[in-house]
Amino acid sequence: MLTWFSLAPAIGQAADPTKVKAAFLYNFVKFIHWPQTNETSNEFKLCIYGEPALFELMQKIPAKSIRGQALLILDIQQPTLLQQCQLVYMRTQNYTATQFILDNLSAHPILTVSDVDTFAKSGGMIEFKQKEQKLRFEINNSAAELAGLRISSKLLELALEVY
Amino acid sequence: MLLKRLNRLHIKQKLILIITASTLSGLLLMIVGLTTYQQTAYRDQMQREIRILAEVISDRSNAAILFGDTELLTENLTSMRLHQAIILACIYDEHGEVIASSAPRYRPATCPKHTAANGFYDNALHWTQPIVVDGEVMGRLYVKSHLQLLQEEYNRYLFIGLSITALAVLGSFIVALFVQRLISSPILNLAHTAKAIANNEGDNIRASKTTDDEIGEMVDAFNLMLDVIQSRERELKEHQDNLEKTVDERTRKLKIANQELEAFSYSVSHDLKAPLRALDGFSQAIIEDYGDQLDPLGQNYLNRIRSASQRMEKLIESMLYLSRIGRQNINIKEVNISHISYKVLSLLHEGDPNRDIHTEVEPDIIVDADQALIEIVLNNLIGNAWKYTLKTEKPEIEIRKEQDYFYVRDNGAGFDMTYANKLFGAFQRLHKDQEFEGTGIGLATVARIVHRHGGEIWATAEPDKGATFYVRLPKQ
Repeated sequence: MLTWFSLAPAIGQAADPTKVKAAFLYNFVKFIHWPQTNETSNEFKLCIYGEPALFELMQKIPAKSIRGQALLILDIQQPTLLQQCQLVYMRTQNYTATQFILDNLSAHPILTVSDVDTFAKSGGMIEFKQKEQKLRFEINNSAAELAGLRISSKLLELALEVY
Repeated sequence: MLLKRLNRLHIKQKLILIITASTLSGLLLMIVGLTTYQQTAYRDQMQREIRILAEVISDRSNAAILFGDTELLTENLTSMRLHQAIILACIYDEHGEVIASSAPRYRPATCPKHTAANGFYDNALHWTQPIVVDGEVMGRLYVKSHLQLLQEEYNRYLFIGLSITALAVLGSFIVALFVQRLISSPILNLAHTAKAIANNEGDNIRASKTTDDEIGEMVDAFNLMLDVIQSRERELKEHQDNLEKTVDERTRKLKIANQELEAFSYSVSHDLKAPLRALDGFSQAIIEDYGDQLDPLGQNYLNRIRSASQRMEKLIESMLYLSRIGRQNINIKEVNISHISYKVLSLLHEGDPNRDIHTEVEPDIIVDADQALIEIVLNNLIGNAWKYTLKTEKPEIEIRKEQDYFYVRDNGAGFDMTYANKLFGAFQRLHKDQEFEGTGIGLATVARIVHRHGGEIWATAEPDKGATFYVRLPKQ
């Protein structure tokens, strides 16, 4: 069932762009290392902010563990609630909103992903980009390092741009 | 076939062949072993290299496969070209679809529809490595490597091995050429010596010993054998010489004895005959001149003196005759026994025409003999038969041939077989003079003649039933 997410949409990429996005989000986790904290729970919270369609899709992932933790897909409405997550995908309306959320999360080891333009340049960690009909991404590795996240060189290699 | 041909080779050639062949077989075996080892080792190494490379590349590609970055995948595959043996590398997704492949390097090749099994086949090494992310197989990497290097390496080993073998065989051949002399020359030397001795080139020839091995022992044994043979020859010659001396001595003595005997016989014939003639002659003169003055008894005495002296003369004559037979030359040719027998019987009939006797002679009994002597034999044998059947009622004489002998049979007085050994001795008589007159020399003469022919004579008899005398003369 997982294959639905992992490879087929990634390779084909002609299919539903939302599906591809979902697969990317899921697969990012495999190439990123989160720091060990005392509060580390047995759950991995993947939070979606502002894109209900994506949430709907990702919820269809059968109950599954990732990195030895139970995978939890959350639809978060309040930016303040995003601090509990390990991965935050956000779709904001403007730069101010984006900055607000990023500021809110900056002290925490939380991977931030968005397809907002210049997201990576302005403090986000991974920014989706469409290139030649394919979904690609940019990475702000400095931001990730500041947050205590270690991104695999394999992933960096795949990025269109690394800041 | 081959074995026969090998057997015909000279010992030199055999030795060279053995040395060279064993070198060759040893080295060939070494080549086989080395190349086999080298091939196995090289394959192992190649497989290891390719496997490690495939592992590295598949690990390097797992993120790219997840995020669909075919450019990076292709880049990775192209980097595999750095290994010169790799002709094709492909990446399949988890559904088995080809998503990236290296451009063919040596010849156009497309990725197989399905990932192939691992191993060496179709003149290539095939290797498939799963691409794993987080313990899950996300795709496969397939690598195909050509075996050209393997072949080149093999050829190089083979070339070096065969070159070394050729040199070694040449070397061992040259060494064998010299070494074989160690063995073959003492043997050839021995053979030459044996030939020289066989050709009677001298008694003192001996094989020379040059080695201290088994061949040396053989030379010693050979020489010892020669010594023994020669000493036996000498002994034999000595014995022979002694024997000849003895024979000469005996012959000489025998000659003297014979001469004495002849002298004796001569004196008997001449010196004894003269007084007998005087006896006989004067007795006759008395009967003729003074017979009327003597009474019948006196005349009878004189007559008896005469017949006794005549008989003595006959005895002396036949004795001389017997001694002459021993010295007479014999002249052997084919003789018809039957003809002689007819002649003898007809003479006997003439002497006693009134006698009623049944005689039978088998025609054409032919033997090899001296005509004159065989006539004496038949005269005696048939004469005896005639004589000893005088008192028989229905007298019969037959002369027949059987196998390689002939016989004279009568049904007369016969004799006791107990005395058969005395039959052929001179002056031996089995009957009294009163019964049958005779000199006792006849059968001795017959036996002597038969023996001089190299033949044999024997007799069977039974008193009053008859006697048979058998004569066997050898074929010339």
